[in-house]
Amino acid sequence: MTRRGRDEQEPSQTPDPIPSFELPKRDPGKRWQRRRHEEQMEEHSAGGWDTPINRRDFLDVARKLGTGVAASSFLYPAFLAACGKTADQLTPAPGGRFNVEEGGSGETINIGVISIYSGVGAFVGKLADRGGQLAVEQINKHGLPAKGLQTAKDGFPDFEAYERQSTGGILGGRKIRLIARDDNLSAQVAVSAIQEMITRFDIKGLIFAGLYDDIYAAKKLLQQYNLPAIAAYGDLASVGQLYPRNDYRQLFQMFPPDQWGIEIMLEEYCLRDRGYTRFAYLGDNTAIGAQGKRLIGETLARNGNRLLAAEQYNVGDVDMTAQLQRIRGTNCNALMVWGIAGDTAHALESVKRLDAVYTDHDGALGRGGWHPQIVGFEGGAAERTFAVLAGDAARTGTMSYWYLGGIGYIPQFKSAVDTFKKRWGVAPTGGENNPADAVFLFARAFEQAGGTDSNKVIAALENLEGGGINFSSITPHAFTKDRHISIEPADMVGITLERGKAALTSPKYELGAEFIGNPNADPPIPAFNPPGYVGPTHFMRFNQEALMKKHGKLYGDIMLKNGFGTQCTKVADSSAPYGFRLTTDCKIH
Amino acid sequence: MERFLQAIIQGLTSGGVYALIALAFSIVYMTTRVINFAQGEVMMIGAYVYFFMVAKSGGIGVSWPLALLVALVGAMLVGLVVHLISIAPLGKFDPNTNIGWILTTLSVSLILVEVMRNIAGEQAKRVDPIVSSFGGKKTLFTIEPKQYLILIVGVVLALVLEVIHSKTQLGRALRATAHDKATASLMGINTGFMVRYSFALAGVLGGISGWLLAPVIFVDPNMGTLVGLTAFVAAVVGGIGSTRGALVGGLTIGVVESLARWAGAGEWTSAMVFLTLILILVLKPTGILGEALIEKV
Repeated sequence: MTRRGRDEQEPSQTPDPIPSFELPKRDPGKRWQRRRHEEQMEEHSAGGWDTPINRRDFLDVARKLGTGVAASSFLYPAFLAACGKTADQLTPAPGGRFNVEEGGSGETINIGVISIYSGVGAFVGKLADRGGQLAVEQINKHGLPAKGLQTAKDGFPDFEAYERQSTGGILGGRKIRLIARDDNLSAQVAVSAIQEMITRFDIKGLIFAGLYDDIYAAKKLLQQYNLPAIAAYGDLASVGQLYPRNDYRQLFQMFPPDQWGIEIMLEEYCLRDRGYTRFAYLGDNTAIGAQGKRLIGETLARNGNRLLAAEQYNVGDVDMTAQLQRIRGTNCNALMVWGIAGDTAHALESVKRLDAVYTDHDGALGRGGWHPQIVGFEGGAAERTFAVLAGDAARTGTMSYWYLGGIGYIPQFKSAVDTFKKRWGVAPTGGENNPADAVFLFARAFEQAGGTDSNKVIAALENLEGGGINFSSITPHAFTKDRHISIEPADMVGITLERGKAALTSPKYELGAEFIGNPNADPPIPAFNPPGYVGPTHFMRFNQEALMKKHGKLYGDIMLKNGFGTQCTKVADSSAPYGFRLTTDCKIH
Repeated sequence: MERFLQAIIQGLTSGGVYALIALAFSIVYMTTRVINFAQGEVMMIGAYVYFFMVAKSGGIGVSWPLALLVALVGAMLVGLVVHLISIAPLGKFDPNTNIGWILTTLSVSLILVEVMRNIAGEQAKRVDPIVSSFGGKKTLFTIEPKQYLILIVGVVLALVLEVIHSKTQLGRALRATAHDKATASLMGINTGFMVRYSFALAGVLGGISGWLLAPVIFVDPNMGTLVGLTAFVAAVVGGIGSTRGALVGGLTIGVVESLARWAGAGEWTSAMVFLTLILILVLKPTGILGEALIEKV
């Protein structure tokens, strides 16, 4: 079996051909010849003879080839990066792909994005990409919106005027580029990716759009490099980790804190509005689930209540029937489901398996078996992905929360939605506005700081001129030195799932104008969502007072007056601002 | 007791898929002595082909039997391609001492994931099941028909393959190749064909697994990774290279997972699976139904 054999053995010692019961054919076929040849080579090789392609050499080469293929699979994105190319501008992958913009005059400014681009949470990366990339393209083509443009149209942005701006880039024409990395649902991976983005791409800002765990794990790194970062998705406020409550001045948040969402959903909606008394929890094994469970428990405790059961699942689990069977014993009115869409869709399929899907308010109160109302984390129950994947297991009335952010269906934002549709071929599904406005925030801060110096950029983010950014969102995002979160409790709204047709209830259940249009409006409003559309919509009953106070024009004059947002059960009330009120008699929510 | 019974049945249904993929692992192992680490991805491709054929929105929208047929053919071809790319170029080698096949099959699995990610995107797809009730009843022991289908198809296929491999000329040829390739070759068996046959059959089994699993776990590029790994464990637990072992191993692992959830240790399911593997290997190194290979000198 060694090479030694060739030198030591005489040619006469060459082994005889392999005996075979097959008779040599007079005119052997190619296959027969090849097989004989292979067998001879193998035998010669075994006898120490070198063959035209030595078996050992061949295997060595194959092994190297295998290693090469494996390595190239892992390093493929990095290889592309080194070549200045991209495999797919829209879907960064493990190890990292990145989006490339043509360089303009001067040095390109890199902004990092860490998000979920694979597995059950891949829809999050899609939102981050579509929002962030469109913002980058707009800025590189049209620059930042001119002064006053954000409020030029009766308080709303003038998108047409913006698209007529011909000077692209910031700081005298410098372009922005997004460097996107997948957190692979792992904070450790996220930290490594951020480290790589800092050292290799010299990113000047970072957008968090992945797991909460990513931010918690990376905050020290950001502090070390003094890198400004915005949590487009991710919650630091609820765990007391947002400046000035600690010394991580680099971190900013534009994501609605779970604490506020849980408070309005539990206190205003579940306890006061719906009269629920029995609560149970089912959440994932990430920081999202852990934080949700803690905050739900604390909020209930403040109200003299408690969780009757708390069950956990692993990210990627398919069947939660066992956990739900234990929860069923509590006969809870509301089931708090805390995880990301995909997993939550599986949770709802398991609920369906137990014949416990939500029917209506009476059902949630226990009349006719166990049919709890599902109240969920916004990244799990306020997502179109969730509604599509869960199918009819996710019923109309599934509740979640968001903030009065990107409402694509109001006429004032039609141009923005059209631009989005033109770029991506689909309408925004909700949530894209956060990464988009994070890019605008960084761009404005770079411009105001006169460069990318970290200290100056952080200072600029804390004091943005012109009242902040609201180019993709309806409410402006702005920070101050004492307030690193850009939204307030008065911005919070409830989100409910609708399935494109009114539920059969008495009194009559009404869908919002975004589903059915409003011919009585002046001018008439066509339906925004196509027939049969399934997805989340804004529900405008709880937090109404605060919303009306802070967003009177938007919430009152545009949304309520024209019938946007789920209308549920409207009752005529001459004392109410628009001649009606939304009653708690609603059978669904 | 009722919940315990439910957990057992639940485990058997999910174990059905593990059994099918474990069967595929075993069949390939029999002829080549290698583990095809791309088997989970072959299943994923089968699921995608089925989705694109059957989906009315975003697909062609054909009937499910036709979609299944196309998915099986597609998965079979992918199985052959896996052989062509990852095993055939290595020529004749001793898998025990040369580990190139680990890297090549693993590489092909990563490539397949990348390919589907670029073609279909990352977002999961929902596939409707072909059966949704038992004569009007949606579940039996809180388990849906689509889950029972997995168990039924898994067991039936394992039995059919067992019969084929023990009673037919093709099966004897496969077992002869598995036992001693050189001697089988001398006996006139086209061992090259048997290897290709095993990869094609493993591809078909992957396609069936993908078809069965698509309505239960959503279709996405990563769906085969964890399932494939767990099925590999099932194949080893049952006794790699044994048809009956693959079935027993798959069902065992499915039940272990389900019982972990039933016992309130849902977050420990993976740990339980690997603990089972270790226990079995300690108690019976060849797996539950595996047989030690005795080399006659």
